[in-house]
Amino acid sequence: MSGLIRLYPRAWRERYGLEFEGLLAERTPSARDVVDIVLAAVDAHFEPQVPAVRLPRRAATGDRLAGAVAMAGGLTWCTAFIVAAITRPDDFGLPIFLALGLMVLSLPGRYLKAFLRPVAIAIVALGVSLALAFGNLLPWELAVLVPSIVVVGMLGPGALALIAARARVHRRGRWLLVALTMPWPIVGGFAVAIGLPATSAELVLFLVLPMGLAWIALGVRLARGIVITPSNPSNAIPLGGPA
Amino acid sequence: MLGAPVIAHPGPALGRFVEPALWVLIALDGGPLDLRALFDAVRALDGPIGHGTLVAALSRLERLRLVDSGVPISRGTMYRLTTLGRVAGGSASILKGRPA
Repeated sequence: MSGLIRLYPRAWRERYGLEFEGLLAERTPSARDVVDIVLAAVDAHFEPQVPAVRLPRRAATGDRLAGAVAMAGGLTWCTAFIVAAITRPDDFGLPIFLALGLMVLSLPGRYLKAFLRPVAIAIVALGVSLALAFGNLLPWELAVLVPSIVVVGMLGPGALALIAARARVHRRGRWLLVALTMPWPIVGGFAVAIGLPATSAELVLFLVLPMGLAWIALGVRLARGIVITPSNPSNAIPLGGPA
Repeated sequence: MLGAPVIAHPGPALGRFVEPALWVLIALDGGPLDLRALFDAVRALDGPIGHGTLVAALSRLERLRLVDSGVPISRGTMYRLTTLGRVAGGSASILKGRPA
């Protein structure tokens, strides 16, 4: 029932949210009351009684920089796949690696430290496959594909959750973001790897773009800064890992 | 020459919440209440007022400075009538046929 409070504007929630939550807990609303709450929430949006105080956004220089790098990573990722879908080049590994590198760079040290092992595995996989490709022991296509799958599959979800945590996204929001965006590049990568005929460039595009868009959105959120309010837990600075 | 009197127009401000707002004023006429007690009091006076309607009416009354909120206690903020609210509450009681 407390989820109903989310229907109300932020300013209203700041003023009445806790009390209203207590009321809902102690006086369980009937179906009719739920309708009343929804209508009152609509009213609160159209005729706000609690003035919305626009608190200044706060963004540390590091966050602005990290946000910009995350945005650049997401943009590079999306652009690389869109251009590849149009021009169908023989090799477009470099921009993909650049995008992944930017994404990793946008993560601060303390978050990266919590995720050290997958990062190390991804870097080793990248090094090994590039070395094999240089030695003509592995086709360049696979040399790009294998580390991409490793990076996206192992590092990707964690990195996305980390940048989302840094951008003060709720824990549930982080999981939702990862669940909605990350499986698809992995599925697409494996599909390409096993040579499924359905893996057209357009399909791959649909599979990989959500991840890039998520990085862009999180980068924007991070760079714009966070409104710090005492009663909004989503603004609490997360100190833990990606969970 | 006296200027035109300034008349507050609570109607448009209260909108469709005029009726519940009057019940809130009557309920608070008995003394400060927290939100839950206010909810119970208004329900006892007027039947099944909705949770949303109650707070919508309350927020309008607060904005019109007919009600203000006091020091938070463990169960929540206490709401009470302002001086202006007491006058309005008395009028509401009379209008509703429930003299205090």
